Amino acid sequence: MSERNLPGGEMSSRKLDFFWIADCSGSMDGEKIQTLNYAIRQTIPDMRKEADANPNADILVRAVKFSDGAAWHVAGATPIDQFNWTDLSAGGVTAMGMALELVAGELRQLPGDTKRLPPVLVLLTDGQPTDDFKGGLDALLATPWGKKAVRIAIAIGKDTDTNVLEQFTGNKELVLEAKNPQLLVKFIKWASTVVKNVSAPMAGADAVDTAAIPVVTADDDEIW
Amino acid sequence: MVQGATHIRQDKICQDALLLCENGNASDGQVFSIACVADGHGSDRCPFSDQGAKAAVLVATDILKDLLMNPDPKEMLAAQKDIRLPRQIEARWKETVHKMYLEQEVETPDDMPPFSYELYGSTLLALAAASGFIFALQIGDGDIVAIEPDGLARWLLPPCDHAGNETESLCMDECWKYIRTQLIPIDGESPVPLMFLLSTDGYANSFVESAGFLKVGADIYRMWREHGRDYVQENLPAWLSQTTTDGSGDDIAVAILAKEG
Repeated sequence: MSERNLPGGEMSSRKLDFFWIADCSGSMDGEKIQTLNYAIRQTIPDMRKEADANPNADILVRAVKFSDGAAWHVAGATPIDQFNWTDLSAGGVTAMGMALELVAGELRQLPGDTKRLPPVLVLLTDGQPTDDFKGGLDALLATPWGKKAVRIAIAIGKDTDTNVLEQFTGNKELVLEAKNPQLLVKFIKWASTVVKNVSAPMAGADAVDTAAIPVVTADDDEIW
Repeated sequence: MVQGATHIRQDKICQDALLLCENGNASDGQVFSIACVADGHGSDRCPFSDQGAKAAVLVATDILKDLLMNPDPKEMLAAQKDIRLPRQIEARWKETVHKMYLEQEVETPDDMPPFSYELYGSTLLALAAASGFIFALQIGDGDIVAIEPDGLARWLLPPCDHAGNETESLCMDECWKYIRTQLIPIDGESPVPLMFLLSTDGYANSFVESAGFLKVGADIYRMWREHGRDYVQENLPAWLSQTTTDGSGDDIAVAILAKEG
C-alpha cells in the first residue's frame, strides 16, 4: 500500500518533454533574436498556467542553441515552474544538424515507457543549415521518441529553406512562416500551447490543433 | 470505473466501459464468469469513443457467452482463439458502431462527421473463467493481471509496450490481427491463480514503475482476503479516484474476478 493507503506503489503524473531549438547564427542578429528572446519569455506564464491546470502532466523544458556548433542553452529537464529564459545572442553559421543530434542524444536517454507523453520539439530558424542536416535529422528520427514527437518549425524571414523544415516536421502544416516580428511572437506563443493538446490522456503526437495556428493575413507585412 | 481527473477538469465524459456477466446455473450450460473493460481513445478524432468502448464490451461479452454455453467451450476456444474469434469480434464491433452511427445520423444529421470506425476507436480487454480453463483476450493497451497463490501478481498477456499514448485499436483495418489471446487450462498440474484484475491503461500509467502497478493486484488480493469482497467493492471507487488524481489523470475501469472461499 502507498503512503496514502491506496493499493499499489509510488504514483506520478506523466512527463511531457518540451524542447526549444533556437538558431543563433549571425543572420539572426538584431530584431530577430530580440523578438525570439522576448516571445519565448512571454510563453512562460502561459505554460505555467497550463501546468497548473493539468497537474497530471509534468511539463519539462530544455533549450538548445545553434550557430557554429550546438550547445544546451537550458540543459537538463527543467520543470516549467523553475524555467527561466536567458537572452540568446547571435553570431556564426547554422549548425542545425548538430542541434538535432544533440536533441536526439537527449531523447535516446528518455525511458521508453507508455507513461511518458510525446515530446514537443520547436525549431526556430531564419536560414539554411550549413552542416550535415540530414545526418542530424536521421539521428533524431532514429530515436523512438524523435519519431513520435510533435515537431514544429518556425521559419523566421524569407531566406529560410522551408523544404528542410518540412523534412523536420514531416508535415507542411507545421512549418510556420513568420515574416515579421508580430507573427514570430504569435507562432512562438501558439507552439507553446501545443502542450495542452499533447498532455490530454489519450492524445497522440497527431493531436496538434492546426486549425488554431495563427493565420497570416494580407495585413501582415513582410519585414524580414 | 471512475472518470479521469483530467477529464473532469476538461468536462469530458468517461470514455471507459465495463461489463460483467456471470452464469451460475449449470443446468443450462457451463458455469462461467466474464469480465470486459474497454478504453475509448477520447482524442478529437474519436468523438464517439465512449460508445465504441460500450460496443466493445457488449460485443465481446455476447460472443464469449455464446462460446461458453457450448458443451465443450475449451475445445472451441482452442480452435477459434487465433483467427475465427478475433475476426468475429472485429466484424461484430464494426457492424455495431456503424449501426450506432446511422442511428445518430438520423437524430442529429447536422452534427455528424463522415463515417469512419476511428470515430468510435477503443481498446478491449476480456477475461473468461470457467470450469477447466481461463481465457484472456486483449487489443491495445491496458492490463490483465493474475494474482498467483504466492500472492504475487503477473501479467496474463504481455503488456503493450508502445510509448507515448499509442495503442492498437478495434478501429484499425484488420484489427483481428492485433487481438492477442491466451487459453490457460486448469488441469490440476499448475497452480490456479487466486484473482484476476483487468484494467484500462489509466491505472498502470499512474505509477512510477510497472512494479508499483503490479503491487495493486497483490494489495487488493490481500485486502480481499483480510476484509472480504464487500470491503474491496466499497472502497475501490475512492481508490481509483485518488489514483487518477495523483497519477495519470485518465479514466480508469477495473474488473476483478476472484475465487470465493
